[in-house]
Amino acid sequence: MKYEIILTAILVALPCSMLGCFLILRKMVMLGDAISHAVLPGIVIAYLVFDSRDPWMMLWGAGCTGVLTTLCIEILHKRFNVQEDAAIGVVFTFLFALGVILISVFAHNIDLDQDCVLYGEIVYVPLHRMDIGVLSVPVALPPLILVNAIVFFILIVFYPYFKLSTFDSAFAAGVGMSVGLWNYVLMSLVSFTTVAAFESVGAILVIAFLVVPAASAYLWSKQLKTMCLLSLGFAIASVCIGYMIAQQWDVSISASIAMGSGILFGISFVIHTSGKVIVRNKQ
Amino acid sequence: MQLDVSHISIQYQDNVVVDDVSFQLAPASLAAIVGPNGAGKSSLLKGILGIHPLKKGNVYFNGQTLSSVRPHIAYVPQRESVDWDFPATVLDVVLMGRYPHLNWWKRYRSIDFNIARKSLEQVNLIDLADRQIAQLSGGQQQRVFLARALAQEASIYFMDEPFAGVDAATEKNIVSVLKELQAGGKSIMVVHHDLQTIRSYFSSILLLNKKVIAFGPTDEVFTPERIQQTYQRESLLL
Amino acid sequence: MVESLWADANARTVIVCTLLLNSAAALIGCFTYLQKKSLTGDAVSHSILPGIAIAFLFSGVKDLWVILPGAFLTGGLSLLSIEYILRHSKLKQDTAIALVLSVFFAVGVVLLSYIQHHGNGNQSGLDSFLLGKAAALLSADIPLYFSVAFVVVFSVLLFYRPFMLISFDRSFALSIGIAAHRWQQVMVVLSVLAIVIGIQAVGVVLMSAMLITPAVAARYWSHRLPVVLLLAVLFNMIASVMGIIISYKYPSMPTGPWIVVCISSIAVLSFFIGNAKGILRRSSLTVQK
Repeated sequence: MKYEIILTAILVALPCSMLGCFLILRKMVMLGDAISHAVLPGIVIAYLVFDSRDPWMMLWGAGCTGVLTTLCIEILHKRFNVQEDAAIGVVFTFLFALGVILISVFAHNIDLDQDCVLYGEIVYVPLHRMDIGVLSVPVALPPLILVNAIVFFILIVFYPYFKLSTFDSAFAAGVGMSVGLWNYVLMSLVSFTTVAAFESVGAILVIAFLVVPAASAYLWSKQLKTMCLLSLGFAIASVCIGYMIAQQWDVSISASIAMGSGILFGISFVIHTSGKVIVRNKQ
Repeated sequence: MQLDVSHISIQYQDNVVVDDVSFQLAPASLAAIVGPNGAGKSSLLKGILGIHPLKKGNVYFNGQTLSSVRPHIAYVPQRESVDWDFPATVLDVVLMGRYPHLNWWKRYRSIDFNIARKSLEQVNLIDLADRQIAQLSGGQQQRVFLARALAQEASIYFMDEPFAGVDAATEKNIVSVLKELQAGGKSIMVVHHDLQTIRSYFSSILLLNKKVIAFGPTDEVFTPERIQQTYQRESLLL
Repeated sequence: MVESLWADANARTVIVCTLLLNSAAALIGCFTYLQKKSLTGDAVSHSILPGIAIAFLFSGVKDLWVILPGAFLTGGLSLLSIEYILRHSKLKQDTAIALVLSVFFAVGVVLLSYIQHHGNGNQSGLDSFLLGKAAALLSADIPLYFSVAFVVVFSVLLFYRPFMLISFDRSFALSIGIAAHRWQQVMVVLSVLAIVIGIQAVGVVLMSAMLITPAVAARYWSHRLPVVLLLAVLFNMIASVMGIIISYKYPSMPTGPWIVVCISSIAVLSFFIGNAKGILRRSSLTVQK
């Protein structure tokens, strides 16, 4: 039970923190935040259209909403001349509100409630089980494992592309790379991950999983590769700290993990800034 | 208005961008500030105007400190420093120049509107007074900024690259307005880039590269050696 | 339908109060939009949650006089943290905002779940701050909401000119002796106040829509700032009334999300037919040329 919860949390945190590194370096963190909110109506619609027990269809349905969000924001920004962050704010609040409304309209048809949307229900993950051969595993695990596999496969195989288009998109476009394509690949990965994470951590806390470990890693590293590896480490450490906090005080596990990553960032930040002060004083 | 700048230094975080600069600008002079990119030209203006704090040194206007003469000072920032999509008309922007002259209730009176319209006439923009500022060309936007400074009815004017990216007609208009101001006894300091036009536009010149390379009447100071010295200071230091 | 809504004394309070809260948000939201700080409002509204929880934990009451100061403190603290992180590290603005927003929100959720598991039974209703519950506005709280909203609206009108100057051209404002930093702080305090009182109606998650969306929509109708401000307030009022009517007619419907959907629809409409920047008007303008 306990280990299944921790395993689920780690499987959510790992791909999130990897993707977070690229979001931070591309200055697209708020877009990730927007997507994580905006997949909500997609999830609800997928719940309604397909059987709620079919997580695969839900994954695809909601993944499309994520790409749609990116597209909407881009159109608002480029075609309608809305400032980019205002466009983000307008689009994600609208889609999230739509999702909440859909949930209340179809409250009888789907087993989603507002609590699940807000914090996720990682505690209940071990309760819904399925059988694969002789193994009995939580229903939430296979999709998460699949998302991990997809995210890590794509990020590792196409690492040079992501690296170049992140570092210098103008140059990348100049040597014939399709920067837009890689952008959309990244955004669809973000939406897959947020959808898979939805059941365990909800739609709003995902952004903490995306950005906080990666931000801590960013403080410590000078290279993309070390940053990615470090953020994985921070992600796992946050899960452990968060789980301990949750056990100790009997509080929400997903929120404690997010808080744990915040604590790790706080420590990194203090060491980082005091280090800088020392260097400055020596000069 | 006489401007006394003595030993000012300006620092951004750990970077000294203006280092121990001193000069005196006589009343009714039209001076250019010239130097390579990163020479601290804009920072010097911002330091003189109190927009950026001085690390050390003093600035006096007719022997008085900045705060007591502020209504008599006008500043034209770089055109790129603002968002021209801001919901405001040409007249709205020019009226901003009247702000220092308003009473405590901060409401415009008819005299403020008259002065703003007169300023717009001086820069040939009176027909566009009700136009939204995003719908102007670059040169027109620059002239709106100039009109706002004129509406301030100041004694000394500081302008940051007013000729950057403007059309020939605008450049001509700005130069004639500047010469008019000078003839009326005002002092003007302009950050300028185009070395070709300096002799015809400006009566004195400040060559700057973090430190003052030279300051004086254009004919004396604007020599090939001095210019070379200004633009190649890095290699001299090595 | 509308008459019966107005006849209901409780609904009347809800309407009047929501209108006022959202007007305050729209006014100050225009300035945050013009200063390109749309998403900091989002950070503030999420960061209010731990403040509410802490205030409740220490006092044990849901009294607005206790909860609002708590909310104001953590909301303000989030802005200070963002500024501090930006100044002392290489993190960029969007990262700092998302980081502070999510960590503060997480702390809030942790505290809320602590209260839920260890509470004394008095805690029900605290989570109405998450997605808002306009119907839960108590008539006893109205005077406080009313006065805070009034302070915000009145200050924006009174300080309109310095706010406009520092939003448009900060260095010019400094050059004519306006203490831009001080005015900026006033503006920040007002926006935190507006957000703090606004969350009762739409909740922390959707609050930023009440700030940004009306401003974006109004900008499509006019090139004059006073008109933009007026329209933003008007749009927010229309959306609020629509949202309240819908949830009054169908009690299972959440008010806050409906208000947000309404204001978003107004915005989408404005993008197309707004007579200042709307895309249909724009294309007809180019044809004229």
